[in-house]
Amino acid sequence: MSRLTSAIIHPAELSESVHLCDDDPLKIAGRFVLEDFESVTNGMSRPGPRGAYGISEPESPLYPWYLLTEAVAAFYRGDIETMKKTVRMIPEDTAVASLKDIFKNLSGKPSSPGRRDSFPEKIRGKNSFLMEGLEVLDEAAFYPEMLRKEIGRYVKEMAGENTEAAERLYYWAMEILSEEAPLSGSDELDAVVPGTGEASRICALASIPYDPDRAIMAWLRSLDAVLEEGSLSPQELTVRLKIAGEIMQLIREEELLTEELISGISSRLEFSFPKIRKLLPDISTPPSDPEELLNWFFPADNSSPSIRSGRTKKKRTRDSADLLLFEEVL
Amino acid sequence: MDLEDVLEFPYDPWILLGVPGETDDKTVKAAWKKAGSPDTGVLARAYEMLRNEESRIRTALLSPRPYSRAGDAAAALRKHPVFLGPGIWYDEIARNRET
Repeated sequence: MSRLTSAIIHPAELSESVHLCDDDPLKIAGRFVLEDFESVTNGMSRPGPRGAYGISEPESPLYPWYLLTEAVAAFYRGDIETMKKTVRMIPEDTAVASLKDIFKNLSGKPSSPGRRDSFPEKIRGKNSFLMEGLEVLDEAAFYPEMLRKEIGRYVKEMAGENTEAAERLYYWAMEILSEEAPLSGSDELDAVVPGTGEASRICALASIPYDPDRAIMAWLRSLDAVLEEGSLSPQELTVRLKIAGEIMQLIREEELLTEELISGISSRLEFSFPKIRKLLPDISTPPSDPEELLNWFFPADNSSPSIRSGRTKKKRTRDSADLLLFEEVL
Repeated sequence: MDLEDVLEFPYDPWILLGVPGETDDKTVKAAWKKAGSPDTGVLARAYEMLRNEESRIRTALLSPRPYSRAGDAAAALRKHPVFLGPGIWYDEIARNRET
């Protein structure tokens, strides 16, 4: 449970979790904590005590959020001592702990020098270009065409300083673009993120929920790039093919499996096949029939997920995508 | 787990189970038994995602974080324990606007 405490970035991860039943105490507690936090920050009346769900107990995974809410409430009623005391109780290994500096500022103390090396501080101090970029991208997020235009510049600029952040930013942009409108002209972005294979993989992941037909082409492009690098193991190749098959299954479920797409997939596989066969000598030539092709992606495996049926398609919301993206403040 | 179930899983399964990036089936199983409890289905799903080499490769490949080879993803995360991405940027923007 303590690991869960440090893993939770936002109570919505519990209150909106698809992995918990609606009457799960954790899910209910997550909702209560959110309501309480919103009421405190919006100046509304706070809901009654939630003692039954143990939110205020140190063992609760939502305990840091309880403390955060209490600290905000203390600030608004002018009780700075209680605010500071409450903030000190927030466990260091939790996402909420990253907000401690804000409370130090609220209590009139500057942030500790040790935190000055955080990425936003680096940007503010050393790179006014990126600081301007933050403002532009913030606006651009709501205008796909503008985002498409601007994102490459900033990802490229970031790549030298922090590759991981650049790749994350790229993924974030792909999420938004693939949700808002069909992606086009993203090859220039693919070139920006280090490694064509990695860029295409990230693009494929971002496109799966909204644009699986694009996702499979990006996934196969990624596969070909890593095959070209020559460092792929037969086992990883098998897994990559199976994932391609799973994406194709999604496409079929959404009735997007057109002749044109099948032809595109076949052409891409035809190009990659000599390299695939080097690693998997027993694999047959990719068939052109859609059903046979679907099964081809699962070499020596009868557990194709294509057998599943009746699955409800779940669309990711922007918020849930953000949770996926930003969950790594662990 | 379905493709989308893995994509939507909101935690790092390596960190949830407390296993290193390069691990083996036995270690994962032992960690799951030690950490698991009936009220935490999340841990059971994390175990399912890491239970064997193939599932570990699949999970790493479906992770949005930089991927090199199976398991390396978790190692990369430990190298950068605080994610430095747009989420932090937005906080910074909001703070700047307030001030």
